Amino acid sequence: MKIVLNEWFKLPRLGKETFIKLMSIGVKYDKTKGFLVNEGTNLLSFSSVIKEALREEVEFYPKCAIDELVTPCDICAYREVCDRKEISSKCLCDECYNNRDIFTFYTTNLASKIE
Amino acid sequence: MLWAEKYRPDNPFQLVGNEEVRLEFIKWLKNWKENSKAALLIGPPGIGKTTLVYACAKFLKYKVLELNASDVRTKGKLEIFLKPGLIYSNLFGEKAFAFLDEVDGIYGKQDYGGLEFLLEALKFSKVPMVFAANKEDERIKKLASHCEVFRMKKIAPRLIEIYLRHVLKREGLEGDDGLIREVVKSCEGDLRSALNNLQLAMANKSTEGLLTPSVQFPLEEGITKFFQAKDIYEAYEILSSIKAEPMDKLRALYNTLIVSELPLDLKLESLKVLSYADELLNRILKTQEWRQLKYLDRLLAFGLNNLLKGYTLSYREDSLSWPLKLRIWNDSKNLRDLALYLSKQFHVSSKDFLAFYLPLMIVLFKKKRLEDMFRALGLTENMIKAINKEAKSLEVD
Repeated sequence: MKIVLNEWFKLPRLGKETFIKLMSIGVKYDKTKGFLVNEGTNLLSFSSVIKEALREEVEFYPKCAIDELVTPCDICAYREVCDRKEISSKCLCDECYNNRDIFTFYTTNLASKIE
Repeated sequence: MLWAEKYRPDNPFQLVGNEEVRLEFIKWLKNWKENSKAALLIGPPGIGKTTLVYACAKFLKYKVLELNASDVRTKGKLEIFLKPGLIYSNLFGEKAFAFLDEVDGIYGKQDYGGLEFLLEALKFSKVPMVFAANKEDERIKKLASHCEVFRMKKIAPRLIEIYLRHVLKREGLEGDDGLIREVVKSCEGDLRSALNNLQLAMANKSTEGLLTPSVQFPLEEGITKFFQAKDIYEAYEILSSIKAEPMDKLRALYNTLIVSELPLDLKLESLKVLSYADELLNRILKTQEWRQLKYLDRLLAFGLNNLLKGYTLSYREDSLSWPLKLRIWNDSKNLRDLALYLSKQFHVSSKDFLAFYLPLMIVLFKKKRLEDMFRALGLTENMIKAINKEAKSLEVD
């Protein structure tokens, strides 16, 4: 199962117990949008809860911290050392990553969200 | 200077990773009102918790009343240091918040009511309170239930890479792509470790010997590696990765140096470095200023690595025989007892007594047999024997 971090997704009915488990590990729920896994979610626990309930392995996909595009990890040079379950939810898409002024873009982009 | 210190961001947007948490934390501080909850930042070391707190303080023009929780653990001390700051909503007309770093260090067996005081302080504090901890264990959950919790995670490798390139640019250096990637791979999401490794790799022009943050050496292996380090940065990294108490590290370094084949003048200089470190450690133990411990490793690494360039030493246990060690211990105990006893009689500190009065007494003892006078002063036979022994070893007539 592919889960995009910081993006709402639907799950089949999992029962009350599993739902409570998901809520206790920081998964967000909205009746209309579904579930959301973000920075505050314990991804290790999320994987094991889903594996137990649906017998499926979970693969997490980050979003780009700048343009919010989904960033596949397949061609990333750091794929082997990057454990998405332990790492903060956002990364950089290839286009942003290869930009020469990326650090400036990254910092100004975040600053613009608060000011 | 370490790049991790030199390029510590002073603006919350210049950090990398944990973007949402950073924004949430800024909002929390910006919107804080008297009845708002305190903040608890939890996350592994080296990801920027402390930096975020200080950068936010600067950004929102707050003064930080900082207290490293490892420094002061008891209720009494926390009360003295914190209470005045917490009951006034501003400090000399400036906004301020209290910050307790490494708060997980407060819940040891030496807590002595520290946690109870903090929980109480949360009720009466008129300023925001911010706590930071590395781990969320059972003990910290009690505090977490009264706080708004901000969980921070390790940093994505690509984000670490852009930060390292930014630092290299500011240093005016050109980094090889392969070298930078190796550094990023070695740091396991820990930015501080990445910066230390980058500095090391740039100095050596090689990625050989990079340290992963989780590496911890046993004492014997660590001391040997320390003496083999190529430069001060590597020496510092190794020393701080040794899994041992500071006093045990110091003893191991002493034992290795004392039995080494180093030239006498170099051995003397090295022992001087150890003596400074010993003095610092004793001061830390006395004042409980645990935060200063980071300077202990730096002092040893910078002092010894520079001094012993070109010499390769390996960890050695002290080679003194047990009976000899016992004799040294007994003699020093007798001299300590003597100093304690006579310093009171002479109305001086025992340190001054050992430095100025005892040498004089030994010379007097050498010149004339003064046992009777010493007995009249109330000295025990063991104390007199200790002075006698010192006098015999004195070469001057």
